[in-house]
Amino acid sequence: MVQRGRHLHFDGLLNMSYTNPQVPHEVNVSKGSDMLRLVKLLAAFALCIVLVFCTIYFAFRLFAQYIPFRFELAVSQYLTEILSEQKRNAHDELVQNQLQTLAQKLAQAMDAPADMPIQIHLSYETQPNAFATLGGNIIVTYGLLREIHSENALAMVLAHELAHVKNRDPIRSLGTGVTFSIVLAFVTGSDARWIQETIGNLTMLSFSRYQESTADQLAIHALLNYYGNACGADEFFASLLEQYPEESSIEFFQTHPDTKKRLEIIRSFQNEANCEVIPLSDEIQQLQENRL
Amino acid sequence: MDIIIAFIFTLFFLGIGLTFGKIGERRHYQSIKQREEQYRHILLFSEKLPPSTVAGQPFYIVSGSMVISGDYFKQFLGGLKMFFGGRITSFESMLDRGRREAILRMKEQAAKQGANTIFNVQFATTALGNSGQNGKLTSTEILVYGTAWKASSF
Repeated sequence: MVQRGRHLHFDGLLNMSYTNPQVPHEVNVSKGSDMLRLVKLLAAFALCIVLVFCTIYFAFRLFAQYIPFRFELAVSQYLTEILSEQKRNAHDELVQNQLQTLAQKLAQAMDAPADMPIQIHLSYETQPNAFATLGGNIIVTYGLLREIHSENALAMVLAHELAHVKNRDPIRSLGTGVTFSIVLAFVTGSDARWIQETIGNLTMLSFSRYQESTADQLAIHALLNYYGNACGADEFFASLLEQYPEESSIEFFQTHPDTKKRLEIIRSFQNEANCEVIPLSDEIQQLQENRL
Repeated sequence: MDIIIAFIFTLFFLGIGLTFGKIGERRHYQSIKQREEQYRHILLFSEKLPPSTVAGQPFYIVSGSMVISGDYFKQFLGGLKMFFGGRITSFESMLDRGRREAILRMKEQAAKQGANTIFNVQFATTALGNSGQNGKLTSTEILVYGTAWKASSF
């Protein structure tokens, strides 16, 4: 009793005998299948990702047109440098300048904003193709120049690509690509290098059918403004269709679907009785002969 | 392509984690239940002071420690759950095993000394590994300690 202070003060209670009952320890562990939980969580996670992707995707598509063009220029600076670096001989340089002049006139006819510089680049590819990419860069291949026989046809192709630039289609597609990369990087846990690589690979952008048909209409209106008629607008598509009935074999068709339908729409604008087209410049004709 | 490979590897590891984790857990629980029965006569009290009836008898400090880690499956599930919040059920059984194993080790130590009561039983838990860096629980040490007495009667 002397040591009472250091001992349990309810000694009396402990005088009864203690036993250790078997207690259900499993109360600390949740019942149920972990596998099922994993499946549920993964499904919820996937749904979240899809929602995030859709939100960014549609928000970008919706607001892309409000992004100042100088941002697009800043993003595409590297791309423009690469495209401009390509070495060309004096004659090709001359042709490129002619295309540039024509494109600028068409841009005026299209009421393109003044702060939207257009740059035409000649590519040595033999496949007939033309495409617009970020920063107002438009790439025209030798293959395309070989297929056309009038300035009007060339103007139609250029105006179509200009219309893409004016409608901000490249940056919309960039938005899609970048969104996809961001979401992918988020899911796989990789770093942001992915995103840069994606932007680096963006010389080829794909546009939707709606974007293509809108660009076609804008291009025809530009032609009507510039030439007063839509003569020769169908030439390139018609000659392509004639030469390559197997549509899938040519890249231009893969990125520009439904050529026949587009041809019909373009032709619906051509109601002149006698169409007179402007011949190609001597330099382009010369280039066509050289390359044949 | 990289993503597909990473995906396949993840699935593979998840499968391994699930299979071996479940087998290990079942065996561990069997062993725990058997030893809990074996050491049932040793009583544990969280009360700081022993009853006066044990006064003058020898006492020992006893401790048991267990470091336990979740398998790949548990960690994956736990990581995913942390995104949404809530009970991380996959860690519950892991920590339950850790605590019970630590108690058993302490009891084994007490049994060696011939003690049958342990007073002032306390737990201490430490997360090991880089748990703070990526938010993933890698492993946990569970330490339990107390003062063991040989009490002839209460």
